[in-house]
Amino acid sequence: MKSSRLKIILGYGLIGLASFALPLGEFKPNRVVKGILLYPSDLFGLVVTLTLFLSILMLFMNQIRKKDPKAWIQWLIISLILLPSLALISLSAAKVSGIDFNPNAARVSLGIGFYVLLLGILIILSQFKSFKWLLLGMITLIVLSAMFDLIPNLGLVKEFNNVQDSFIIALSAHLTLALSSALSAIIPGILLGYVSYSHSQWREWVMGFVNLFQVAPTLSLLGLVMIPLSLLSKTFPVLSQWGIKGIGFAPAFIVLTLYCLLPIVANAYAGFQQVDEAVLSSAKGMGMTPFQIFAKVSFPLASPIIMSGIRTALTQNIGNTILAGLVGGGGLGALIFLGLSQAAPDLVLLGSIPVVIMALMSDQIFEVLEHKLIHIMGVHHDTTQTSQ
Amino acid sequence: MIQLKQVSKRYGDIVALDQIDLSVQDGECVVLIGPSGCGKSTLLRSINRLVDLDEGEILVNGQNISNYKAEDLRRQLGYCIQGVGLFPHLSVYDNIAIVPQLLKWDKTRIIDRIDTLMDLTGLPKTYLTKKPHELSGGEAQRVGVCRALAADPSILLMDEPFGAVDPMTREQIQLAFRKIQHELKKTVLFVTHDMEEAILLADRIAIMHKGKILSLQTPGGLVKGKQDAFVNEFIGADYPLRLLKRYTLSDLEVIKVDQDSSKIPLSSLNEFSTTKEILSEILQSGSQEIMIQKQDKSKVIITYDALIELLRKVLNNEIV
Repeated sequence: MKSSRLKIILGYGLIGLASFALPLGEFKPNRVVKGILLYPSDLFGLVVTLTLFLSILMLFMNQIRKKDPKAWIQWLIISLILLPSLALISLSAAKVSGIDFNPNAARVSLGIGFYVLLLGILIILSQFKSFKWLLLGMITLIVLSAMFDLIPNLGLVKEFNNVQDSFIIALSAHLTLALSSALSAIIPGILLGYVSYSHSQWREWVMGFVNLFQVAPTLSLLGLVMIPLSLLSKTFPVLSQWGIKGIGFAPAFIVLTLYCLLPIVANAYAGFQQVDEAVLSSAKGMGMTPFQIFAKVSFPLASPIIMSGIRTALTQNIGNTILAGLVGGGGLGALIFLGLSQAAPDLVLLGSIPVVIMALMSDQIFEVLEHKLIHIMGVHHDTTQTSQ
Repeated sequence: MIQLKQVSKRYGDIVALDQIDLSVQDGECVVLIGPSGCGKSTLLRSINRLVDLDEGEILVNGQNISNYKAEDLRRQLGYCIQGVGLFPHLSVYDNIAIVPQLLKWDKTRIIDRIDTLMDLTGLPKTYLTKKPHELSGGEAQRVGVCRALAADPSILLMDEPFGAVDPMTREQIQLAFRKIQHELKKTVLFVTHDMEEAILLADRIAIMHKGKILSLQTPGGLVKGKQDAFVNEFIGADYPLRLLKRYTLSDLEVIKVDQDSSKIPLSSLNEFSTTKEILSEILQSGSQEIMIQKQDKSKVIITYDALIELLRKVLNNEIV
């Protein structure tokens, strides 16, 4: 109770701070020049919206609170989710007088106030169980308002319109790379997990091997992989025709796959480990062959925990794939690093936000799958809480 | 029939089985009992080759077990262990159907067989779709028995199968198993550490210690004759009294009485009560006899002397 009250006070404090004291955005006549800070009081639209909002909220509070406090909380949640989109719409519509600008080049970038506002909302929402769904809903609303052209002047949207084609290519390359490398790690990961479970003398070797990749920083691992690969492709030119080169897809794919191994192997090991000894012993005693025991007993019973490992692997992999941009592997990382080199924060955001969304979505989808599996396998819930 | 000839097994310096000879006749239930680490489970697990022998040979129905592929051998032997080991992800039906499916029975035969088994163990058919976690301990244990019996093996190997259930349920399931065994006459090798269970279920009790069988006797025969000091200590001084649990009213000589001729008060026991309960009732009543009403409303008088006579016969091996 105490911590949730603290969260509410902190959350509303931040929202209040952002609504009255901090610049929500920055109006820039074009991409490079320094802009004019937009304070909430400047944003006629936002003030109107917020006032409307609060008055409707008060109305609902009085009416519903007596009958059904839950509905009141639901309404509060909905309004919090709507708030960022409304703020963006107001920002985009902001009118600045006194300077000349080209409406095609002018844009509004997000300011510190917007991030503080977002932080406040997230702190409040974080105490609800369905937090990740709420977050996804909020993001969907923002994406929808961009798609319906409600926030045309936002820097993010402008950047998107500029690089639309390459954005889509980068997005699909990112997804392809992240998914394919994570998928490639699944079967070896499960097998390595099974080996370290069934042959305990190999466990330290296997775990040491997969830990090595996790401990080595991704960037240095990329460098380490690039050198032998480029040597290989120089020695055997035919390899480079197949795409195996020191830069590009191959090194990124290899490093990401290696990176996915640890969570999958560790979870597979834990999954096989927690299968009841009595179950295995009776399976053997009834005359099941080792393969039948694996396929019909050990694997199904370990599958929820294995699934949780795959979820961890895929979710972290979507983030790690950004680094592929450094070695010419493409993906959203390319956009982000381009944005960094051009000092264009909106371009960086354009690259990062989809990564966050995809990671959130994969996490959510796999969580649902995992719970389905737990239900089907009749395994207890707490067994899924394993280390990574 | 199970025959063990000069069977030995060592784990490093520890002798788990020391030149054991044992034969379990068709339809007989032999209970292996002894302190933990005496080798009783090892002995049982060597029969379905979960443990490999160092020396000696084991014959199952006349065939040396090393002539079989281990999996084929195990499919012929019903196996039931402590904690049941039901597969949590499979329904009761699928759990019981495992061995028949491994033996590639056709589906109608499996369904028929499972129907029979559910009747036999007194489980309702609605349970077939349940998952193991929806069952109580006793019900899960019954499913375990069904699973061991599924492919109708002539031999059952049971490794403390009722060890993990609470005492009340355990007694119920022991009685149910005894009834099933009377009906089916399987060849059973049963491991336990519970003397009462051994007395209740065994045709013969094998007492094991440090890898050897010290005594192989009927429950009654265990008391008489020259006994090893360890056996004497293991069965305890109150053993004859514990034996009474094995017998019921039908094993006693009783006096039939007319409907209302007797002044002896009616006890609350019935014809299924054990002689141990009858003795307790007599001791409580303060007299030498009690009266019991059977299910068919006829009444009988049981005297203290009849109980003494029963014990005498049991100890002389006149009643098994």
